[in-house]
Amino acid sequence: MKMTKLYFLMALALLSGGCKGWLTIDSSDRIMENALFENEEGFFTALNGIYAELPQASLYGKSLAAVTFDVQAQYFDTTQPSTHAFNTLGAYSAEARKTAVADTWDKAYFVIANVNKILEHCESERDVLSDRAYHVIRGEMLGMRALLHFEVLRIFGPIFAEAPARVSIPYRTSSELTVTPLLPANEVAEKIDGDFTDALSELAEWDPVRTEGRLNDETTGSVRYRSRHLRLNYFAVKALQARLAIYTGDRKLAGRLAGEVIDEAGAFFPFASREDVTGQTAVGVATQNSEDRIFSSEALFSAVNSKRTSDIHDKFFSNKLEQTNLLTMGELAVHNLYDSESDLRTYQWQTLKNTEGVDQRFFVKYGQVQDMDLGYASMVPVVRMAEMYLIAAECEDSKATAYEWLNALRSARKATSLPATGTLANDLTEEYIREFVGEGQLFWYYKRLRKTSIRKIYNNNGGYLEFDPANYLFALPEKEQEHHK
Amino acid sequence: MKSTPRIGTATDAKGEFHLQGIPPGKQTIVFTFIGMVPFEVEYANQRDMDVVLKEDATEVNEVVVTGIYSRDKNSFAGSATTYTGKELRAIGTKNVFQSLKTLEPALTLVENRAFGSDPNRLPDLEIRGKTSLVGDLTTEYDNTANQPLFILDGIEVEIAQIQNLSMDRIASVTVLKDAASAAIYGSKASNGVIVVETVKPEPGQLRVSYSADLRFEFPDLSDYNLMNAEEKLRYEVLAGRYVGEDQDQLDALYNSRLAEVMRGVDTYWLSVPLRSVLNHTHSVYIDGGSEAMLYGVGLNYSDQKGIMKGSEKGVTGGNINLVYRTDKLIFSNDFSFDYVKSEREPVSFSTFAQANPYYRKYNEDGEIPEFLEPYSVAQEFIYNPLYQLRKVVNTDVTKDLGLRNNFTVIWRPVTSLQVRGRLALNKTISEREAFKSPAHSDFNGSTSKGSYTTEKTDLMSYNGDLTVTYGRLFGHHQINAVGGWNFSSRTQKNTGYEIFGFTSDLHQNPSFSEGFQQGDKPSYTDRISRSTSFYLNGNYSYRNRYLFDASLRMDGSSVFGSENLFTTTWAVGVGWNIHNEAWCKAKWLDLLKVRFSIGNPGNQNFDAYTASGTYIYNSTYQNLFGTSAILEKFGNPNLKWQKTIDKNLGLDVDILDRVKFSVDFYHKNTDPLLAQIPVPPSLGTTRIYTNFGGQISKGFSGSLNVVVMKRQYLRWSVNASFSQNRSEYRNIGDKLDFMNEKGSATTFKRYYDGASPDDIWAVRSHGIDPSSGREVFIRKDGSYTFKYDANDEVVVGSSAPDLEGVIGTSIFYKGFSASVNLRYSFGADVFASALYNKVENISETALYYNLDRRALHDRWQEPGNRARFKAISIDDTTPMSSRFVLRENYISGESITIGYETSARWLHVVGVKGASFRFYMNDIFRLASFKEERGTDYPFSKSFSLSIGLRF
Repeated sequence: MKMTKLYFLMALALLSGGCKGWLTIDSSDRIMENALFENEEGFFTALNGIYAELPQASLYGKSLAAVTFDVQAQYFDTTQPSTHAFNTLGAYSAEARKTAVADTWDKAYFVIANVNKILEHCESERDVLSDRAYHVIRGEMLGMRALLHFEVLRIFGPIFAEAPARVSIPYRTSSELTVTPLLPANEVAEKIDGDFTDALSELAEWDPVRTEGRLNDETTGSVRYRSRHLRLNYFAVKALQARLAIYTGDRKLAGRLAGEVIDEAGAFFPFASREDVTGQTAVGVATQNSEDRIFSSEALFSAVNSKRTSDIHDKFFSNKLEQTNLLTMGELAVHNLYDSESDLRTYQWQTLKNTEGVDQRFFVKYGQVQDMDLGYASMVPVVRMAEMYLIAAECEDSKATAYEWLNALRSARKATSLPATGTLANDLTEEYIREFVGEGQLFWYYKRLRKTSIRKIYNNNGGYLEFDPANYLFALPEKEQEHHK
Repeated sequence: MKSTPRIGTATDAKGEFHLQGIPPGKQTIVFTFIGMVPFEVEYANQRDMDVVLKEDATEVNEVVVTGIYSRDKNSFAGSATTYTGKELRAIGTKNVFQSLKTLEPALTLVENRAFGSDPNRLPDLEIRGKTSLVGDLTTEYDNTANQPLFILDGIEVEIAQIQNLSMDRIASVTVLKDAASAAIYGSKASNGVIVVETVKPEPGQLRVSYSADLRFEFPDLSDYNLMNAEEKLRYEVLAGRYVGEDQDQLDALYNSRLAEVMRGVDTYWLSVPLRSVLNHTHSVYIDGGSEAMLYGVGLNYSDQKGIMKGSEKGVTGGNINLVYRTDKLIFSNDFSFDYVKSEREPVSFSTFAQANPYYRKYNEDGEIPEFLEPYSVAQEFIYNPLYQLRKVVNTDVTKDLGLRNNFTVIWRPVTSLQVRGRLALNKTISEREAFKSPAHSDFNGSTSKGSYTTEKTDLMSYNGDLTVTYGRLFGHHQINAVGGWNFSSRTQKNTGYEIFGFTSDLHQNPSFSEGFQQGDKPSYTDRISRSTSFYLNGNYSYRNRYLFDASLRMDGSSVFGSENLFTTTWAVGVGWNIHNEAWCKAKWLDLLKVRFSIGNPGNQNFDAYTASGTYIYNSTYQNLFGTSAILEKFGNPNLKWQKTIDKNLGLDVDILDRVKFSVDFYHKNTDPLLAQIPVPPSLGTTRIYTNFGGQISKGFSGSLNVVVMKRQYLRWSVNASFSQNRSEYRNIGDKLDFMNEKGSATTFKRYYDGASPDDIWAVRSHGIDPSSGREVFIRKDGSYTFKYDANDEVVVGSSAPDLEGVIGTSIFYKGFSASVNLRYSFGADVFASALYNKVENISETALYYNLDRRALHDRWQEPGNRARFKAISIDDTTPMSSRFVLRENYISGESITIGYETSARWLHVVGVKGASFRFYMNDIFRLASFKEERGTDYPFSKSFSLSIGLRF
């Protein structure tokens, strides 16, 4: 009996070896982690997975770009009608603010976990990667980890001018499923800065953007290292580092970095020309259907949203929307926004018939661009050159030079130059307001300056809103909080 | 005919037989019957023959059918019980589980308080309690984590296939409860196994049997206790419904409602969507043939209307069995098909339960209004559920077609050896179509009204096994051995889509819709899973006194992402038949057996075994860089399979064939547990599977059957079954403390070492203070306070009953039989959530719906009131306290039946050889120590039924 069993077991062992192949199953829509990172192709598939996640509503599809924080910066009229979908968020109701950011937390950390996976596999499967792939992927992913943590920190962190050491968010550098403690905001900022610095050193030698620019012309063959403006490239990382520096109050560093970006990247990321904005460059004649309203040539990094029109424009800004769901400002308010008639940024607005057949101003920055082949039809800018000029101006000690930076931007926008005798801070604020409609930057400008009175931009009669600085702060999602007691 | 086995016959119900074509000369005729000693008679041309068979003492009872092999129960060391189809049909005819729960004490049919008697819900079954965590810590999918494994004619099937099986097709059901009996199913067996064998054709002349079952089912609303119109309005006033900002409008609203109440409007909405139904089931089976060639053809139809209007399930099925036998080979093929059409009720019962009694069903013109109250008065749309039921098209129909074919070859080269090969094919196509009218209340305020949903599942599986069985007696040594190999593959394809925008109910065709909603896509998944296993079972007995049983199984499965494809399970059982000992002089003792088993069956009802992470290709946002993939599931290489060390000690006693007693004590130690726990979202996911601690489940179950009276034609017996189960957590540590903290005051489950999953945690309550109407809590130190503090929480009860089971009696007299089986349960506590939510804690929105009468009458109203519930005016949330934990003892009339069997001469006139009639009352009453709403989404029902069986 004993021997029989032994033979039987041996037979089992033999058979089970043969069964292994039969039990291994392929799936048409999924792949196992270790199989994915078996070759360089897989690494780039995972890398693209990160970028393909950015256009989600909780990231740059809605929350971090066009809607959530621009509503809170009082760009759009959410007071009328009283049933407006963003009425409560525009009035800073606690519930609305909580729900507006909850998904962003989850999604950002989900993407961060994916980024960490790629970074870990870069080391464990280093041998399947070429040097270039290794450094570029690592550089972009370190930059991405820093960017997403920075986005989360801006929302859930303190006002740096007020309480830089307040406990804020966890900084995740590993995909391991263990809880990471909450860190003081300044420590998080240091880590973000560290990742940006590491990203820059990875990309410095290997990113073609430094020598060849955006590489967005049509080409056949591999696109892995092309269209650098749609990847987190060297200049984008540096620009974001400048944004971080000014956010945490390091004006000197911010000014230096912004200056470097302007110097080095200026030629590759030129200001949009009148011809670009009117669509003339694209199709030969000026046409509303081809207007480059996002000033794509100067976008250092953009998220690619192939459904931009339906995801963003049609949901929040279209003239086909009922007033309750529409985000726009009053006719006169739009007029008052720009101090020059010739300002190219006025192309971001159009007068169209609303659902009741009445003329109304609509925000068309993310509107349909007829020819989808034009790269800018699907871009949602994350960081643009213009911000570098504004940072440079803000960080400049000499007022005259500061106005030079500001007027450089204004002249590119075909707006009249401002005299250096004005109040720089006010002029900068006004320029921030004009420049970043629909990009979700203004609120953070207010937050870092701890503004207690902010403009009712949407209002035809102007005016200011008394702003409680507590509304710059967002509580951690409950599901997160309960694990950090 | 001993010399020529091809010549043979079978008796009819009365035991009469005719044998023709007997060759001349002296012959021997052999009479056999299951459980009887074969008897030989010399044939010498006599015309009549009277034969009485003797019971086979060594085969007093049944055999244990594990689906892979069969064993004589006497020499089996495991804990398993077999019930015949006849026994099950004597309890009820609704479905096999309903009858099985009455007979088998270890089986629990978890009562679903929400879905009552819904014919389209699958039951939730447990054998010997839970080994896995369910509830807060798991996903919906895992709620089947404690479900047993179902085997139909040797093949693993889904629970639905067993539920839809016609009761007349069931030959036997075996419940495998402990490790030794279930170990042959290895890694899937930790929750026990239910093995169903269907009726096989028997040799003889062509036999036709027909049975019909008529069931009258009617709603049971006795647990409801809702307010009438006057009470509801009064309650609303007391709760401050008509005081607010826009006082004029609220006054108008109140006056309008008051006018209705004064007019005598008092609608009893509960009964509106309900009906009493007469359901019928028919089944025909034809079988016969010679020893060499047997056939059986069956056809069955069942129409089960639900007690809610519009809910129905129709099952049509058929089967063809063919058997061909030669000396050493048996070929058999079973083909069967099932067609199930299920329709769901269009409006949920809870919608009617919520409707306020001061609304009218019909307006003055006798028409059904779309809204219960004009918008101008209510300032909101209050949909009329009756309008939604009658005037709006809202259908949800699922059609399933299942085809199954089992082909078996058995080869017996010598009597002691049998080789069996089996191949089963299973194909199921299921299609669901649901249409929601544009007038449906779900589309209030949306622009694209009306929807059409379709889902299609296409399942193809094959399953094969090869088993070698050896059994031989060497002197006093009986040896049985089974070895085998099994493989199975299953391909499932799900497709579906949902489209919106219809103009009217007239055009339900999807081509009339506006199409997909923005961003929607059709769904399409394609999954293949495969598994293979090797198993070995050995059994040895010495003089049928000392029994030894051992099993080993190696399972390999293709769980996607798993690196450890194989897992091994084992079990060992020993038994001692004391009554067979030479020194045991007690002749009255027919059976005295002690058995013990231990093993480590696994549980594969989890979707968690992912050592490596998986990525899913992403197609939502495409870009010029080509394909992209994102993490779908995080890998966790350290995750361990959940295994249970299952120990069982059993005792079987049988005295003079009059007293039968059987009891099993079990102890299941699941260590480590595998559960899904919430993690901070900063990990990149919100829930992960993790191993932690363990869970001990222990308890006992048993049954006693005493024949009180035994006369020539009379047999009266009483029976009782009982069970108890207790569980507790081990080695959890502080890993789940955050769950405890989060759950304080809002849930009653806590996770501590030594705590039980059945415990109910809450702060003790001293009742309502008569002077203020506020609740008085009891602190841990015993002092009283008005202030609720979560730190004062203690265990205030346990949801596990101290004892539950069935007591019954049955009596047979000639052809008559009658039985009564009552279910009892004592000592369980329940958290009365209906009281908690419908008497107190009435949220602002709940105030708009009808409420429990006790919210008005039993609440504190003025100083001096000794009330059970706090003041109506106090509208802050009531924390969970012991006030809502109540003892629930109950007795219910699970099955009461009267039957009559006859083969009287008058039947022969119409060509019927035998007939049986049986009248059933199922769940006819329920006496409970406390009453609470049951069946909130679908009410419970009571039923009477009559079944008729005819043999031609």
